[in-house]
Amino acid sequence: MKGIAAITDALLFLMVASLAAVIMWSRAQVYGNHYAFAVQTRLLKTYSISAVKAMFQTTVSRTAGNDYLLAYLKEDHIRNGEISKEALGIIKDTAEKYFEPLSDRYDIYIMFFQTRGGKQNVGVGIIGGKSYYCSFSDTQLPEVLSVYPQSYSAQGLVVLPARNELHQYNLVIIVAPSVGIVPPHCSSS
Amino acid sequence: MRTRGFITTIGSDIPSVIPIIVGLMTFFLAFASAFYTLNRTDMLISLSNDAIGVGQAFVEDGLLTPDEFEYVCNNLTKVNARFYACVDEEREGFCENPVQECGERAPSSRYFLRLTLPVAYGTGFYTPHYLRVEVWR
Repeated sequence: MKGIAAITDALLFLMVASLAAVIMWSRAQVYGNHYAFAVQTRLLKTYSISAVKAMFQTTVSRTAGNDYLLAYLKEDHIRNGEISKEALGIIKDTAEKYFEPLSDRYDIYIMFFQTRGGKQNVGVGIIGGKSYYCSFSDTQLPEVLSVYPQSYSAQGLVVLPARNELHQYNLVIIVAPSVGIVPPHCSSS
Repeated sequence: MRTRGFITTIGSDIPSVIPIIVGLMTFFLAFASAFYTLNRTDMLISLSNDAIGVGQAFVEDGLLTPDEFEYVCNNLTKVNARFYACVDEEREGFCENPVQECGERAPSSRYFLRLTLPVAYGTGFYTPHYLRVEVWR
């Protein structure tokens, strides 16, 4: 009887130790996954913000000489009070180069949502490794993003001069793991 | 003739030793595994903070000149980790044909983290490049 009691105690100890081990191991994995995800999100955001900053500082060749992209964009905007297709084309080409390392795995949207002085909502989408012109408002954004299980975004204000006023745009950068679906609001021309 | 088992003061307890040993081994293995995961995660968080810090010191406003690269390299002191940085044009690889580089690369035996940040680089004419940073401890 003494032997059976000892085995029962040992089995109980094994159960408790196994339970403690499972709880400890699973908590550690959750902690690891949670922070790995947070770190990845932060790295993606840092990359996207740096890419947009670099984009606007990139030199654009023009007939009247070289200038950086933001200066070109301001000059372009002052003519008609909007971002022209030509300027958007330069943004598209420049964005393609800067976002190239991400474009295999992520879809990227760089959108200008006008908040003051008009209603122009334009931008560029790099979807499935190809770039597109996009046109949708910030209210349509949830619809565009509904195909993505998760997305990361960053935003900032851009003020561009028009003839007698200043137009304010909300510049939004969205990065989402690629699903390869081009939204109806985006086209190649 | 019937033979009796090894029943003495200690003999009857011997079979119970096996589950105890298995239980202790399971517990300590899980403890070691959890400790390793936590340690690695903390190292990853710490290195990623350092990598972002180093990267942002170089490309604060998205623009970088060769002189600025040199200056930041020589004066960057607010990082706990050691670092290597380079500027290159290639999308693939890590600093295989760098335009400019500084610091010491991570030995293979150490924890390290690599970060790529886009930057407009040049002197007067700024073109798309990649700043690559490797931080290590």
